[in-house]
Amino acid sequence: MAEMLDLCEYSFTCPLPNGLHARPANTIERLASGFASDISIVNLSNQRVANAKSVLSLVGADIKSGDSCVLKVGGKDSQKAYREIVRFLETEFAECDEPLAETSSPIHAGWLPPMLKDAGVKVLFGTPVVPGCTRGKIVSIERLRLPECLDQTASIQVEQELLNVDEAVAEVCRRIRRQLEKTARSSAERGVLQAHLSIAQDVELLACIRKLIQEKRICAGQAILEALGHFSSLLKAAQSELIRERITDLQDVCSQLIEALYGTTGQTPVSLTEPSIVVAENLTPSQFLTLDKNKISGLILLSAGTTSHTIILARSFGIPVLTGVEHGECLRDSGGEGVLDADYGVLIPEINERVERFYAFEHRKYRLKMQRDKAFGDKPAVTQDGRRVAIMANVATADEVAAALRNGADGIGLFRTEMLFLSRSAPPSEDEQFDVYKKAAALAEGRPVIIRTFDLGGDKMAEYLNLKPEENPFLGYRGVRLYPDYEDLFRTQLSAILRASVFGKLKIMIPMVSCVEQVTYVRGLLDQVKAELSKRAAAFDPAIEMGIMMEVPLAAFVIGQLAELVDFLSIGTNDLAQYFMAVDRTNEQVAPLYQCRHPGFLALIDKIVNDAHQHNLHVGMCGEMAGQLNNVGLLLGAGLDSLSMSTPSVPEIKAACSLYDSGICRELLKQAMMCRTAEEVDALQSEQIAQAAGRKVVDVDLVDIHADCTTKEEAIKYACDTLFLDRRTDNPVALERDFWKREAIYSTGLGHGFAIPHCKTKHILSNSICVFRLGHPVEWGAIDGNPVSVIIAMAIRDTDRAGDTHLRIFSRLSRNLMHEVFREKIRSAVAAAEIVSFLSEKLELNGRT
Amino acid sequence: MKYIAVTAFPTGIAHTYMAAENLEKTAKELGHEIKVETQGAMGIENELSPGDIKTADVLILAADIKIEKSERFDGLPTIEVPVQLALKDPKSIFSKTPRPRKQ
Repeated sequence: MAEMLDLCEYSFTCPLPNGLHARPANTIERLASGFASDISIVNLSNQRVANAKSVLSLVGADIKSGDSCVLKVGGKDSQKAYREIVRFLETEFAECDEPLAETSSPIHAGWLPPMLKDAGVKVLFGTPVVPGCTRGKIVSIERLRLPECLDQTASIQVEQELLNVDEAVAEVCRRIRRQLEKTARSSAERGVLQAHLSIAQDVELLACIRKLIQEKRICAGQAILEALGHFSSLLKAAQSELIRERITDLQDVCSQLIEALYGTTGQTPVSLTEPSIVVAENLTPSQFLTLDKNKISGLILLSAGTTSHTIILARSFGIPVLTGVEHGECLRDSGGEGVLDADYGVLIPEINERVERFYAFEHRKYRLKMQRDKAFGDKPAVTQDGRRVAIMANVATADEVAAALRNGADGIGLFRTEMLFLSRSAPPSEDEQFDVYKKAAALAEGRPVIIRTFDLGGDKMAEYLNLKPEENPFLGYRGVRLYPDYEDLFRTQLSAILRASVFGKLKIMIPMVSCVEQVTYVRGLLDQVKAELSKRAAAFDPAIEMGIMMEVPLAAFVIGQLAELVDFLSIGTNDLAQYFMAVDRTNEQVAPLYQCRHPGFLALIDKIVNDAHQHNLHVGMCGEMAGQLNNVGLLLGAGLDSLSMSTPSVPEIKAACSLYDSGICRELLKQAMMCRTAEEVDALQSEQIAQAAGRKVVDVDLVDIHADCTTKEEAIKYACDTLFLDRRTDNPVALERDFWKREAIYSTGLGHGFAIPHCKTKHILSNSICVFRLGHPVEWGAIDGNPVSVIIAMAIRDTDRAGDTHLRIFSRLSRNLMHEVFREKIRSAVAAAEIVSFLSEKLELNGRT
Repeated sequence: MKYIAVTAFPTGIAHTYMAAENLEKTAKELGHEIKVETQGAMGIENELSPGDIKTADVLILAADIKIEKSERFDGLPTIEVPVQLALKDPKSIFSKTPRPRKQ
């Protein structure tokens, strides 16, 4: 009977969306390597058999999502191994992979601003993988080439060659470990090095090399090359790019082994002497790491897939990357200076005057935007009518606090502590947590830092909690619901926060609260922990505030009862919306039903804020909704005291707040709550947004009587950039494309030196008219064939319908332009303000429109 | 002469109204009477009534798209021109020979 149990089999289906690639394979390898038994996995879809103790062998089995597999375990400790591995496959396997980093998509695939497209130089399109724009000398680097044959004719000593392999492996592992300890700066870099370490120690790879030496009596180097060939052809056949991509890593490790054996691989290392755009067919991670990162301004990998480890490294260094560049081969001998613009998805291998001009425009736009944002970041967010709103940042580590403050955050509205608890085998100690919270408190320099106690469960499983998998984890055991069962863990965290509270202004926030009992329990525990600390004579802030997340709809209806127990509320819109609407927004089939601007959801937010204020509670919002520009009016209308968002959004939202009048916002929200659909709210918003934001159709910021534009292409880009800088569009490129769509129908040059480029577009927030006078007339293809020196650009919201008073402004302007008196007045005005007041009078723009 | 006119241009934001303005301005200069209906982003404005149509001598149709309610003008002597001409050389339009509009 016992013998029969020796070979255990278990059938399963691969649940991983990206298949069994290196990362999950690593997890299985580590688990399997802990047992003496032979453990294999058979992929029934292609009959490949993988040794579960070898990552290379596992990924070589090309197990895709949905493939049927069989786990086979045989040997001394097979029962224990079987139990453990099956438990893993049943409970953790599906969750053990992380989502892949998203690749960025170009601003507009295939569309370039004419100013650049017609600059008279070659523009090569590629696939942007890491965003950014950079320039530098184009330097081509050969891909890693290993010698084809290393076999010496002299007879070899098998034993000696086997020893050589062992030594080389030990040397390479030592080197990688040293890099891991000494030089690796980012988690991405450490991750890649870990992967290489596991390849260097892979049992199947080493077995293959040894077998080749013994059977073919070849030298160690040749055996490594042949083993590389064997595994490469295995991986090459894989359907998943993720797996094929690992060939580069395998080559990388094998070249390191060869270098350890012979002292060289025969390739001369490249050293960069100036800022460079590095072009290569492919680079191994080690090749990349040996380059001077301060001198790589950009990277072009002609044949790398988006999941290449080299790209992951480049991303961690913030280096823009383009792949799959068409005709990239011709770049090899260029040697000149070029521009890599991963935002537009192009490489421009030579720079002429017009390219310079385009990037001077771009540079100006970003410089002014940064200046503008900085100006707002430094000031508190105050509405037109003087209401102050705290704009805070969401962070997950203490290090992020400084960056948040630099961006102008008024504090930390949400410090997520889960990071401290995840990806480790034991929970963090009180002192470890204390150090983190203390650092955050100190870095915030007196500004509030709201620390949310651990929100584990749901999709965040910590190994040591031994949580059971659930049918419906988001409706299950998570957040505060865990605390009574993990009381020691919770006490430890409370104690750490309390001790750190003397170093700044910390607040405690409890996740997933749905009822009064939970808060009573936490309050009681907090008092106990305080008493214990007093006994230990440890210092803490006795008046530390405690608040709760508003994310379970039930809690929103007992705010009065909760008010006695808490100091503040923070609306977590992501969860509140998913529970309120019963929609998982990651499920494509129902995602469209997830609508934060639905009248019903707005009414819920309004109710929470009202009830909170009635009981003198501070109420903020820390979900994604708080950081979105088009929600600002509605949220100000609801009267939230603070908005907390990801750090980059802070200056933008601060600036937006300062444009609004809270009274008008209140009206806007009231109307929105009476709409029937989210779509109606959107339409209403674009209708009202200009009004609430106090935007005029013509404004001095939109008039430039000395515009520096030398072509039509420049003038249209200038108009779009101007509208962007005045916060009238968040997508100036899409807006520019819409202007050009209109130009394609019929020239907007109407003679007499005037042109009126215009479009109806969804990329404008409020109707706008720009007026530019040019020093030198430009060609426009006008009706009378004359060049143009006055440009009146009009951008009109596409939601506007016939009968809108706004549209009448444009028809009035058009009619006026037919009269020489009107045109002359614009030609001869001595200041922008004169044009604004003249147009305001002629177009009857009395005050706000 | 008594003219009526309809102007219409694809995007309907600017050219529709510029053409209308130019026709009105030019007719005045030439001593003609005119009423211009615009079919633009604002919908139909200054709509020509059955009375206007009945008493008109000539219809000027400066439209680069199919106009709405065109059946109103069946049988009326018509001058059809591109919108462009109303901007470029409106005077020339008034010297053209109208053709009876097809039923």
